[in-house]
This record gives sequence, C-alpha cells and structure tokens, in this order.
Amino acid sequence: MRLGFLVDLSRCMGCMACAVACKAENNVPLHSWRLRVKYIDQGEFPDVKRHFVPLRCNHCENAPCERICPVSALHYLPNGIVNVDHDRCIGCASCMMACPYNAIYLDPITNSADKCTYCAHRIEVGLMPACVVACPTHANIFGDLDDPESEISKYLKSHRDVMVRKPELNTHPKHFYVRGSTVALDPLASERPEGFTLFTEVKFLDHIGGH
Amino acid sequence: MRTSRRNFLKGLAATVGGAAFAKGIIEKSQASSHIEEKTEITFTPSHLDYYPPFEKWDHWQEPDGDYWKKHGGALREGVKIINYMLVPTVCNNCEAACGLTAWVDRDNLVVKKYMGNPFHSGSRGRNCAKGYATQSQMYDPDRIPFPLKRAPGSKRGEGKWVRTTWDEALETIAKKMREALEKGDEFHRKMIMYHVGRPNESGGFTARVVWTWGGDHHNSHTNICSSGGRLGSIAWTSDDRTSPDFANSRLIFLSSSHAADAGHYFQQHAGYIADARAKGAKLVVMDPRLSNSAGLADLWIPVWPGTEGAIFLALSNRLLQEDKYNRKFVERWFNWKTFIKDKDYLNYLKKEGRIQRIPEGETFDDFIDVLKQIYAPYTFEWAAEETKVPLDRIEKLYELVLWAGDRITSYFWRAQAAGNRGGWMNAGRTGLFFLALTGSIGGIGAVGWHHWHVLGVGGKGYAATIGKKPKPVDDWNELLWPPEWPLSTYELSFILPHLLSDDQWREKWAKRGLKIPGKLKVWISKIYNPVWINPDGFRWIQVLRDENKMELTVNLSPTWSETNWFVDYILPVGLAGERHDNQSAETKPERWTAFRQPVLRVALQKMGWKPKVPWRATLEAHIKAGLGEVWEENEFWINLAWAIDPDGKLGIRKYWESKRNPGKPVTIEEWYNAAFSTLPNLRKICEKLEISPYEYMRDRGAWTEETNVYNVMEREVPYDPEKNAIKVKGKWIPLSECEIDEDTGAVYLKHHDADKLHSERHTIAVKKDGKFLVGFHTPTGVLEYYSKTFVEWNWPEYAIPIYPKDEEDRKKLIHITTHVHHSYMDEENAFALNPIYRLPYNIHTRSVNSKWLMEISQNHNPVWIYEGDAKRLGIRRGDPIKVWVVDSLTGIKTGYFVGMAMPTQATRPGVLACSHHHGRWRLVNSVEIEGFDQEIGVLTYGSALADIQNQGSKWAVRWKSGVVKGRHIEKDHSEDWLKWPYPEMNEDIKEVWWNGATGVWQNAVFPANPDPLSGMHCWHKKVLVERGGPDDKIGDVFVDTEATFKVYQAWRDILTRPAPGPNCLRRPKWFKRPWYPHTDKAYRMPCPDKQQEHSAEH
Amino acid sequence: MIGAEVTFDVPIPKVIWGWLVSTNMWAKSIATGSFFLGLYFINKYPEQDRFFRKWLPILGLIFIGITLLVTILDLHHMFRFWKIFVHPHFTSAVTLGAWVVSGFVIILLIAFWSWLTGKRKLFDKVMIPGFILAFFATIYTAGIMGQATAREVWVFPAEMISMLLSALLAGSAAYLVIDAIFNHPLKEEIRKELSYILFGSAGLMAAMFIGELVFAKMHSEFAHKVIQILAFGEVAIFFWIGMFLAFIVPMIFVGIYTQKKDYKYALYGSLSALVGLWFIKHAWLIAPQSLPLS
Ligand SMILES: Nc1nc2c(c(=O)[nH]1)N[C@H]1C(S)=C(S)[C@@H](COP(=O)(O)OP(=O)(O)OC[C@H]3O[C@@H](n4cnc5c(=O)[nH]c(N)nc54)[C@H](O)[C@@H]3O)O[C@H]1N2
Ligand SMILES: Nc1nc2c(c(=O)[nH]1)N[C@H]1C(S)=C(S)[C@@H](COP(=O)(O)OP(=O)(O)OC[C@H]3O[C@@H](n4cnc5c(=O)[nH]c(N)nc54)[C@H](O)[C@@H]3O)O[C@H]1N2
Ligand code: SF4
Ligand code: SF4
Ligand code: SF4
Ligand code: SF4
Ligand code: SF4
Ligand SMILES: [Mo]
Repeated sequence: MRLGFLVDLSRCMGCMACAVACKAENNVPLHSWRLRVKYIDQGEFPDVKRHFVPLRCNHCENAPCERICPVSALHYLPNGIVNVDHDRCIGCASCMMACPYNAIYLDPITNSADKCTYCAHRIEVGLMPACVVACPTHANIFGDLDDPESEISKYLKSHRDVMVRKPELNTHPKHFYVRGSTVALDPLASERPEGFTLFTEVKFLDHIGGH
Repeated sequence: MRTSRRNFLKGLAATVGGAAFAKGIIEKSQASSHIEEKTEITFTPSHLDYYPPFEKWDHWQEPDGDYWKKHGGALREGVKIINYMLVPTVCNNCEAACGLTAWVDRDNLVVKKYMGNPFHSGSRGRNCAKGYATQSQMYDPDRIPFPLKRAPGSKRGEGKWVRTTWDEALETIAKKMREALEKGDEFHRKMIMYHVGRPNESGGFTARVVWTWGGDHHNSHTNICSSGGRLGSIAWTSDDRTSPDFANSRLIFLSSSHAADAGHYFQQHAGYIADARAKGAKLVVMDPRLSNSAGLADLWIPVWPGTEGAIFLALSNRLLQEDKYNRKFVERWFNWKTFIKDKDYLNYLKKEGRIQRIPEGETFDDFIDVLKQIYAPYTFEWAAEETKVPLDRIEKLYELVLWAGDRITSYFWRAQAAGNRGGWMNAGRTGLFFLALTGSIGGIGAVGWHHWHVLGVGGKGYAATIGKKPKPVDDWNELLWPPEWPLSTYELSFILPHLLSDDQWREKWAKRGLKIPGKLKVWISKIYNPVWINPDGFRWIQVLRDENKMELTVNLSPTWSETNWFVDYILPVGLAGERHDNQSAETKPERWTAFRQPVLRVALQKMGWKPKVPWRATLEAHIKAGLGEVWEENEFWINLAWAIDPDGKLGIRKYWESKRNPGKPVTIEEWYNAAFSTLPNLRKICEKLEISPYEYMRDRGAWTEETNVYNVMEREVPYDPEKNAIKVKGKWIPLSECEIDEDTGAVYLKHHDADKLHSERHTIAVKKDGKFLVGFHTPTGVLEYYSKTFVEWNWPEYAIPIYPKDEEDRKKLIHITTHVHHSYMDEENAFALNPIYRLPYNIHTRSVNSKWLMEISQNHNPVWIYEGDAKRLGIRRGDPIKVWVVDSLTGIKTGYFVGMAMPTQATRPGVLACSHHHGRWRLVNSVEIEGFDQEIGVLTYGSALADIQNQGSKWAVRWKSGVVKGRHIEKDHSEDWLKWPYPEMNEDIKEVWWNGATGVWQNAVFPANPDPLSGMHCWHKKVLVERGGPDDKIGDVFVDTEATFKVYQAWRDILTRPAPGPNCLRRPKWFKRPWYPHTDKAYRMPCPDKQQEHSAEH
Repeated sequence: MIGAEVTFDVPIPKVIWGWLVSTNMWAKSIATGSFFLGLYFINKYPEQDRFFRKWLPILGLIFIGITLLVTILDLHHMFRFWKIFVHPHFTSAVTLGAWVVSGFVIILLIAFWSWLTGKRKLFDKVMIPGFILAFFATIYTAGIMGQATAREVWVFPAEMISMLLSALLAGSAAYLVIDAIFNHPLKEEIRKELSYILFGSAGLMAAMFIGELVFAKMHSEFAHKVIQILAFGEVAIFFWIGMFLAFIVPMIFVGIYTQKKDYKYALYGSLSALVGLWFIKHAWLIAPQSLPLS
C-alpha cells in the first residue's frame, strides 16, 4: 500500500476548509500549518486570474526529511506515510532545512518537528484524512496508489496533466496535482511580497518553535 | 493486507463508556483508553471511509491525533484511543445549514471536533472552514460563561456588569412584557419587539413564539441583507428567491460569489458548481471585483456596480430580436395576455416613449412585437458603454447563453441587489426576465424556487401542545413596516432607531390616524449585532443607550459584541452544537431538513443522564458538562412564555403547555417529535425502524423527504368534481369561493374586488388546458412579466423589467438608477465603494470568536483600489487613505473612514472594495465581575481596542491597539464544575501572532439608504478618496449622525411613494407578511379619502 | 514584474538555522583546520613539534567544544541530544557528524593527554584515525548541507571543498595568531608556509564564491535568486564584509608580510581571516533560507 494524495486544482476554490479541518483534527497550534492554501493573483485588469493551491507534505518516496533526521523521529510507516514522533525529536530542525517544500515546522507547544501525516491515525481505523472529508468541492482525492481501482489511481490514469512540485529534485512526491500550472506550483513563478495583501499579512515568522 | 480494524475495535470494547452507561453517570477516566499492543492496528486498511458506520456512532473509537503525533503513533508508543459519540447537529455559521457531527469525547464530555454529517443530502458530509471552526467557537476563551446584567446604578455602555441567573432574567423580562400585554391594546403591544439577525432556523419556531405573544412583534434584519434580491423575484413569482439546480446546469451565470466565496448556501452550492464544471459547465461571474469566484471563472464580467440590468436586457433583446428565446416556455408561462390586453398600460408605455406603436391584435406574436420595441435600444454596444464591460466579453457571454439553452442558473440575492438603489430591478427583475426567456425555469439544470425545495417544520410542533395554532394577528406595527415602503420585502429593521428618534415622522402619521409609539418597553435581540453590521451604527448606539426609548434591552448571545456592550442583559445561549433548531435550505432540487441539537445534552442523555427539570434540560446539561450556564433559545422561550403568563390569563401559556403533561411546559422532545411527524415519508421510515421521528432526527440529524423536485408549477392540484373543489395545502377549497382569471387561468379567492385589483388577490392554483396546476402564486398565477400590482401602487414605470437608457431616463427612473452610477462620479477622486463582499472563511461578526478563522483573516479589511487609480492619486500599498462618504442624492458628506490602501488588478477601475468582515472593535480587554475570580476577555484575539469620542452628533473612533498577544489562559476560578475558559483547548492562544488593527469599521459612516421600493439598505457609497495625512491612522472613523440622518430623510421624503394603496391597503395582500399571518384588518390603514376607489393613473 | 503575486499565504518560517550554526561551522573549521595543519607540521618539522603538539589539542578542544556547545544550544530539545546515540539514523549526515565529532573529541583528548604527560607515542598512534575523523568532521557539515536539499546552492562536492578550504584558512590563521601572541616561537619557514596556506586557501575560496556568483544563474533559477540575495539582498552586507575580511585583507596582508617581513601583517591578516570567515559562513547560511520554498 502506498498512500497518495491528489488535488484537482480546477476544483479547488481556496475556501480553507481543509486547512481548518486539519487544525481541528490534529490540534495544530496557532502559528503553524500542516496544510496551507496559497492564493496567487495573475495578470492585468481585466485579464486577471486567481489561483488557489493547497500545500501539504508530499510524503516523498525519497524523502530528504526522513533521510536527514538524526534520530528517525521522521520515519516511514508501512503504508508509505512519512510519520513524525514528537517524543523522539531533538529539535535540530535539519528536516526543515531538508524539505524542499516547506512542509515541516516546529510545533510551538511541543517544540518538536511536525507536519502533515496524511492523518495516519485516522487511516488506522479506515477513515479518510480530515482535509479530504471536509473539502466542499472534492478537490482532494486520497487513496492507495498501488490499488488500480482506487479513485486516485483512476484519476492519475485519466489525466494527462499530472504534476508534482519540484520533480527535478528526485524526491518522488506522492502528492499530485492535476489541472495545475507553473504559477500555482512553482514558488518562484510568483512574487511573495512581504506585508499586507488583499487578504492577509504575508510574512516570514520571526521565530520558529517555542522559543 | 487484511484489515484487523474490526477486531481491534472489538478488543477495546468501550470499558469506560460502557461502564459509565451502565452506572448512568459520567466519570472522567483516561487510564484504560490506551492500547499497548500496536499489532492490533492496521496500517493498511482494506478501504477508507469518509465517516464511521452509523451503527458505531454511539461508540466510535479512534486514535487521538494529538497523542499520535506526540508519541510517534502505532510504531512507537501505541496509541491512545478516544471513545467518541457522534452526535449530529447543524452548522450555524451561515444559512446553508450544513450538517455537522459533534465528536463528543465520552470520557470527559468535550467536543473534540466537529465534522460533517453524511446523512445530510445537501451538504453531503462536507463543510467549509467555518463549519469546522465551530469547535473553536465553542471553546472560545472569551465566551460568556453565565448571564450578565448591567450593574444597577450604572449607565448603558459603561461596562459594569454583574452576574445574574436565568431565573432572575426571565422574571424581569416577563414582568416588563406583562405590563405591556396586560394593557390589551395594539399601541402597547407595539412596544414589545423581538429582533433577529440571521435566524438560522426554518419552519418558524421563534416566529410562533412571538406570534403567541399576540401582536406584531417580529423584526428581522433582512432589509440589510437581501430585500433587494427578493423583490425582483417576488414580482415575477411571489417566491422570494430562486433555487438553482447548479449541479446539472451548463451555464452558471453568477451575479454573486457562490462558486468560491459566499453565497446564500455557500459550500453546498460551491460543491454543486464544481460538480457541474467537472461535467463541462461554464462559469461566468459578473462582479466589479475579482472575487475568488470570478478569479476561477471561465469569464469575468467586471461590471460597473448597479448596471447589470443593462446586460440582462441586452441579452434579452438579442434573444428576442434573433427569435432565439424559448417560445414554448414564454407562451405557456408568461402573463403576456394580461399585458397585451391592458391598453391603458400600453398607452402609458407609448406616452413614455418606450414603444412606438400598439399592436392591434392580442396574440402572442403581438406581445413579442411589443417586447422587441421596448428592448430594441438595449444593444450590446450600448450595454458595453453603460456597464463599462469590454464588448467582446458580452459577445462571449451571449455565445455561452446560446450554447447552454435552457440550462442556465443564477442566484439573485446581494451583489447589485444589495448594493444599489433599484438593485431589485437590476437583479431579479431583469435577470429573471433573461433567464425565463431562455426557458431556464423549473427544469433540470435550471432555476427552481425556494418554496419548492425548502422544508422547515420547526414551528409545526403544536400538536404537542394544548394551544395549537394562534389566530392571525390584528396588529400592524409601523416601527416594523413604516407606511413609506408599502412594497418593502421585509421589515425596515435598520432604521428602527431613526423611527424611534423621529418625532416629526410620528406626528405626521398620527395626524393620519396611525398610533406609533415613541419607545419600546422590551427589545430582545438574537444573533444580531446591529450596532456594527448595520449602517449608521452610532445612531444605534445613541438610541440603545437611551433608556427613554428602549426601556429594557436583552441580547441573546453566547459572545461579546459591539451591540451587547450597550444592553441590559446578555444572555448566553448556545452555539451550533448547543441548541435546538430545525433548519432547511433550498440548496438543490430536493427537500431535506435538518436538526440542530445541543450535542452535550444529547450525549449525556444517551449515556443515561436525566435532567431534573425536563423543560430546562439543555441548561442543566451544559452545567453538568462544564460548558457554562449556557442555555438555548427554544427552552428559554418556552420558559419565558410561562413566566409572562404563569396562570394562563393572557392566553399565551396554553401554546406552550404540554399535551402529554398538562400543567407543565412542553418539552423539546415532545415539540420536535410532533414537528417532524408532519413529514409523511419520514413517518413511514420511522414506523419501519420502530423509532419516533424525534429519535430518527436526534440520531441522524437530517432527512430528505423528496428528491428530484422539478417543474412544480406543472404539478396538478387535486380536483374533486363532486365537491367542485381543489385541494390546497391539505384543505379542500370549493371553486365557488374562487374566481378565475380568464386570461391566465389564475384561481384566486374571492376577496374585495380581487377581480379588478391584483393587489387584493390570493392565488391558489392556475387552470391550464382544463387542469388545475400549482402554477405560481402571483395574482395572474403565472410568471409576471407585467406586474399590475406595481401600477396599482403608483409605480407604473417599474411594472415591467426596465433600465434607464440615458441621462434623461436616469432622472426619470431615479428609483432604479444606482446611487453610485458612473455619471455621478464627477470629482477626480470620486469612486464607487463596494462594501459588500464576503471572505469564504469568515462570517459577519461570528468569526471573531474562532481563533482559527481569525488567524486566517486577522481583522484585516484593506480598501482594494485599482492599481491605475492608485498610481494616479499617488497611493501606494499599505498607505492609510481617507475615504469620505458622500451621498449622491443630496451631496451631503457624512464622514470618513481611514482604511489601508491595497492597489490591485483585482477590482475594476473606479470601484473600490472593502469587506465588512473586519474592523471589529472592543472597548476594554476584559471585564471583571464581582464574585467571579477571573477576568472575562472581550474579543481579545479578533478585534482592535477602540477609543470612541463623542460630542453632540459627532463621533470619532481611533484604534488604541490591536489584538491581545501572548495571552496565557489559566483556569484559576474557583468554580470547579466550570471548564471555562477551556485551557486544554487553548494552550496555543499565547501564539497569536497577528496584529488585528489594520481593519476599519466602515459601516459606521454609512447613512441609512433605504431603497424606495424594496426597502433594502443600498450598501454602496459614493466616496472621495484622499491620501491620509500625518494625523490619520488606519482604523479612524469620523461621523456626523445629524448628516446621516438628513440623508436618510432625503431618501425617505424624495424617493418613496407611501401607503395607502388601493382599498386603503398598507401593502398588496399577496405580498405576504413574513413570520405569521395577519388579519385583513391589519393590512388596511385609515384612508385619507375613505371612498377612494383606486385606479392607477397612467 | 512577473505578473503574478501571492495574495494569500500564511506566515512561513524563514531563518531556521541562524548564527549558532554559523558559529558551529566557524569554530569547527578552526578545530579541524588546526588539527590538519598540526599533523602536517608535526610530521614535516619534527624539530618544531612541541608547538603543535601543544596547540593542536588546545585549539582543537576549545573550538570543538564551542562547536558542540552551539550545536546543543541550537537544538529545540537540548536535553534530548543523547537520543542521537540511542536512536541513531545513519543515513543522516547529522548522525554521522555527531558520531565522528565524538570520535574526534576522543582523539583530541588523547592528543591533549599525550601533550600533558609528554607521552608522544600515544598521539602518534592515533594520528591516522585522527586524520580520518578530522577529515570527516570537516566535511560532514557539507554532507548536512548537501542533504539540506531545500537549499540548492549547497551542493555536496563543492561544499566539501569549501569546508576543507575554510579549515585550512582557519587553521593557518589560528596558528599564526597563536604564534603572534606568544611572540613568534615558530620558525620563519613554518610561518611562511602557514601564510602561504592562508593565502592559497583564501584565494581558492574567493574564487569559488566568485564562481558561484557568476555561474549560479546557470544552475537553476533558485540558485540564481539565492546568489542575488547573497550579493545584493538582505545578507549582502555580511557577504561582502566576509569576502573582504576573509579573503581580500588576508591575501593583501599576507602578501605585505611576506614582502616586508613585518609579522604584524600576518597577525592582522589572520585575525581578519578568522572574523571574515564567520561573516561569510553566516551569509552563505542565511541567503538560501530567505526564499519561499513553496
Ligand atoms: N463565507 C461566507 N458565506 C456567507 C456569508 C458570510 O458571511 N461568509 N454570509 C451569508 C449571508 S448572510 C449572505 S446574505 C450571503 C450573501 O452572499 P452573496 O449573495 O454572494 O453576496 P455578497 O457576498 O454580499 O456579494 C457577492 C459578490 O457581489 C459583488 N458585488 C458587490 N456589489 C456588486 C454590484 O453592484 N454588482 C455586482 N454585479 N456585484 C457586486 C461582491 O464583490 C461579491 O463578490 O452569503 C452567506 N454566506
Ligand atoms: N458593509 C456590510 N455590512 C453588512 C453586510 C455587507 O455585505 N456589507 N452584510 C449584511 C448581511 S447580508 C447580514 S445577513 C448581516 C449579518 O449581521 P447579523 O445579522 O448581525 O449577524 P452576525 O454578525 O452573523 O451575528 C450577530 C451576533 O450574533 C451573536 N451570535 C453569534 N453566534 C450566535 C449563536 O450561535 N447564537 C446566538 N443566539 N447568537 C449568536 C453574536 O453576538 C454576533 O455578533 O450583516 C450585514 N452587514
Ligand atoms: S477544502 Fe478543497 S476547495 Fe477548499 S481550499 Fe481546501 S482543497 Fe481547496
Ligand atoms: S514533502 Fe518534505 S516533509 Fe514531506 S516527505 Fe517530502 S521532504 Fe519530507
Ligand atoms: S527536528 Fe526533529 S524531526 Fe526534524 S530532523 Fe531534527 S530530530 Fe528529526
Ligand atoms: S492529511 Fe491530515 S494532517 Fe495532512 S493536511 Fe490533511 S488533515 Fe492535515
Ligand atoms: S457553508 Fe455555511 S452552513 Fe455550511 S459549513 Fe460553511 S458556514 Fe456552515
Ligand atoms: Mo445576509
């Protein structure tokens, strides 16, 4: 079993249900996100588009974070999930330096590394991840990549425009996007000016973890 | 790999829950909920479900996500299992009424999370961010833990509070109400008012409560929300809104933001729209601002606000001229015969220059000929000029229209309808004309109607009481329905303080025989924050503070708000998972209904707990679970009825007296069982399952009574030739009591001179081809292209869908010309301000109590300004800009606000945008209550601390600071039973990182601008923009309430055409009074000239 | 203007590894550099080996001590550092580094013991394993950098060479400073040789950095952006101070020293190199962290 994720970006509407569902499910503290949804505005009036893109851990098959973790706090589960153990973590932040997708953060309460676990604890009892359940537009598709009958496998088979983030890094993400665009998936294809925007304050955190 | 999930769960058999159940008590016990053996857990389940199987809802075991991450999950330290009970309820964060399930931890009675409800066919187990945020609202550390009362001797707004009890509050309120009711006259009854914001209930439970008090007491907030959206629709069908079948349509042509931002039934509709698009449908969004919906649409129509009618009529014109309209549908369902036969009216149109010739004949083709004449001037070129939309986009749109055929959907609610004077015409009236011409009405992939699909039964539990149904009410409260707005769709709620403080106005009407009180004895509001979300908030504050105008004021609110700061009683009722309501919404061509419940109460009861006083069970349960002295409205009202009328003398008590237990208040179980029993299909299934309808709804939370509800107007009405009667709403009505309109087949009750006066008609069916059909409940029984009612009420120019063609026309048709029309933008720095748009993850003033939603949105509402405009004015990103509000009718400046400028490509040139979701404020960080040993925080992580200055009519606001950061939450009060402020749930509140002082309270500067016909507050404003000076800070507001008052008076006096209408009517009889029925007498007012038989002057 | 702009995003972490890590790398360069050069000079000039047998362990222990201290200080769970020995994960350069450095510390302790007790043989026996450990102690950071796949300019072989060069730079500079402090106990020849090493490593490192500046844009867009930040962006000040102090000043001063035989200049050049090294390490560490990764 290889659990994988797929987001159909033509369905995503940027509502953040997934992001909040994730906070609730996993007790993700303020200041931290296992899953975030980015908006990107592109073009000039009246030819303007807004892109929405949910970003979470890719559960890479060749995961730099797992490789660099000195104590295996990040580790693979038999179903392919890259799991995390706060007790084990020594807080060296190497994984944050290694993950090319900014998927890991230091939990300010436990001071340990944390990230999306594909809701491994719910998988255990046969339930979909919280963000998948929430999504109003069914943009999130989750399942077993090894099972040709799973929705995700079928989706992958029937779409030609499957993308992953930074494929050149050879991390082999198990998180796919369809009907995406470079603008949505490549962080350098848009500007991320710091400061207030139409919706929020875009900034870098002034501290990580609990100190 | 085979799943061992089932075994694993069996092995764990809920020792804790089970034992507790047996003993009938709940005790905290955590030790036993660990599994040591990780081997029993499967990493590779055979399949993944969205929700646990229903049989397991009472005992569902799931690993704790938090424990998992901390200890590495099953590979490491085992897992901690939570013993859940899933209790269904309904989201309260918008009107979509999506299903929720509360995941109650049986061991310590907290709701660990809310998810969706798979039994809910509208929401399909899905939710938006706000649904999930319910949990954070529930355990908001700034919640109010017990009833509060203004400290004796202190003034309103001084911020001195004492703790009180529910009993004391009930007694005080009841006594005051009794005083008024015992007088037994209308004048005194008018002094009692219930005032609700978004009610979030269906089928009228609270309406029945108010109805049983006996007068015209029910005020709502609808005229700031959607009256403009409703009037156009009412004029066409008598139903106040469409119910589109988005999922099956080909062209979704929105003049709203349903696809991705908001919309009346937000996430459900968004989901259906996404489904349709996946099947190839196209999405077009008409919006001056790039909403998220517009941002993802196939085509964005960046229209100038309030000019949408031009597009609808241009499309209609093209369809007509090219003979591409749906002839079959139009011929069958338009009231064209009424129109073509009304020579008076045709002559009037000719006189007005709308048509050149009146056809001799009265055929359908003659009708089309007239339409072609009327709409000929509305060309695409003209529309492009008028709306400022590039011509090629209109052409593109037309292509899509032709491609989509009769599967076009839209929803008219706010947008132009709420923003602009005449919005009702620019939305539903012209928009539905266009839709109806394509035949996109009623069928698959088209628009149906609200009443076809909605299924509310909340008020129908009276079989459980002794009193049954009260009689129609005789009163007419002018504080709700002032005579100036006879066609208004709902109560003129937002001008309540204006009415109360306007002695001249009262005197004027007193001379004509209307007795209008100058004060209220009791004002009870619920889910309503008028100070902040209405225009002219300082006028509200003025009147709320005036004890001579409002003697006793009560706010039913679980949380702090700008309004409840100024009232006498704040009564903490429950949130979405803490109260009972029945709610339904017409979100698709189905009839579903859902049950909101106090989930902790339900969980407790299922575990064997019993309340001491069954009609106060919710309050007891919340105390038991440690939530706080939090009650619910339903039981509060029932108890209040008993407090008002303890001995039954006032005739109120009986309506709330249990049939099963005479002499005792009806219980929630009894009431809702009776209410849900009115659904035949539900009853059937319950008989099969051998449970009661109440139990069904308690356990599953939602029920779908009927699917595939299309073309209801074509359904036959039962006819019995023997009785010569038709069956309407379960009653046989003899045709001898009816008249039939020979032109359209409308069957209406004989009534005054209903054959002549459309305003007097009550249509119950329509006769077509010898059959009785449901039809539409308009005076003509069909779709009213031509509404004679408008002619009878002296608005002949608006009896058909119309739009001002040019400058001259705009002067004549000023009532439907947007007050922010581009021709009013004379100054270089003049803009139209669009203050109405929603953020998908926020809900008015309810997000402030969710840390998650505030973290996303941060009380930040910058002013969007087109980059080109900003450059021209030298404005850069983040600059404070001073936005002066100017009334385009009078030229009066009412004040200014200072917002943060946000230059962008995402709003059209000349039009600013600023959301009303932010700019929330508080006056103190916390309040101290004597005898309670911890301060109660006030909106600490979602608002700015404001300094408000007042001199005479001049008011100024300045932010002193933003949110409270780094706050530690400890439970150091001595009341052991109370979990508040829920420290376990709020460990992270010290991580608040946002500033929260970049928003602005724009509504305060807006004068009340009631639309002369619909009564809708016209939200958009003409503004003048300046760069902020050194003294201007973001968040500043300055208002002169004398100026705002003058503007309001001008709109009232210059633009309205007051009642009475024909036959001294206060309002057309078929324009229903919402909430509960009124007698014929109530509908009529003293006439200046009693014998005047009204005939419209053409 | 790219024509696309982020309009909603949550705050994301920026500097994950800060000055503690720069200090780590800096101190470790001194510790390992002085070890390499110590070995070299002990073997090449056995007649002068007292100096190196003394200062090699002292410099080594002090600076590896600093390295370890800042490493542990930088952990968000300081008191869990021992887990690295109990739950080691050997694919991780961090783990390898911890083990290697631990071994290196033992060698240094032996060296120290050998100097203290005068049992030279003791140290001689562990020279080869010591060299290997020092080598790996030098380059494991490059390994970590290489494994920090998120930060594209840190690529393994180049980073490794750069680490070795900084060790040589720091080691030579450190010995020159000690030499100056203790009034030039070293032979002129050795000092000269140290100066050449300093000069050479500075020159090579400078060339590498300049190469990076010029060639980064041909690697990837990300690398190019990082270099822009490095050379012209928020850390440019650190970078150019570093370039100047670590490479240019030492090269000039050492040049002057070899010409004029004025020892002062060797001292100044060395001090400048040591200070500059910290700056350039810091700039190099921070620059790639300033870009959003997603
Ligand atoms: N997320 C979320 N959903 C909600 C709510 C919420 O607060 N948050 N509130 C609920 C409530 S009470 C309501 S009434 C509904 C309302 O939901 P909608 O009917 O969608 O109304 P709005 O959000 O007011 O406006 C919709 C769009 O109209 C645009 N608009 C503004 N003025 C004009 C105009 O003059 N012409 C045109 N063509 N467009 C214009 C705005 O920019 C906005 O994008 O949403 C409900 N759903
Ligand atoms: N500028 C601008 N202003 C607007 C709008 C706009 O688009 N632009 N939109 C308008 C529209 S459409 C609407 S519908 C109104 C909405 O405005 P309101 O009808 O006032 O509704 P809310 O702000 O959602 O909630 C009001 C209060 O209810 C209380 N409350 C919250 N949750 C609960 C609960 O579960 N139970 C009870 N009993 N009380 C609760 C809180 O005190 C909260 O402040 O705003 C209007 N104001
Ligand atoms: S819940 Fe679905 S639609 Fe909403 S932001 Fe997440 S992925 Fe997109
Ligand atoms: S996305 Fe990042 S955190 Fe997730 S597996 Fe890949 S490298 Fe690790
Ligand atoms: S921070 Fe924790 S999880 Fe990340 S690499 Fe270090 S020990 Fe591993
Ligand atoms: S799978 Fe679970 S942990 Fe991952 S983003 Fe979704 S909800 Fe969060
Ligand atoms: S759409 Fe409305 S009712 Fe549905 S989950 Fe969101 S806020 Fe709740
Ligand atoms: Mo609304």
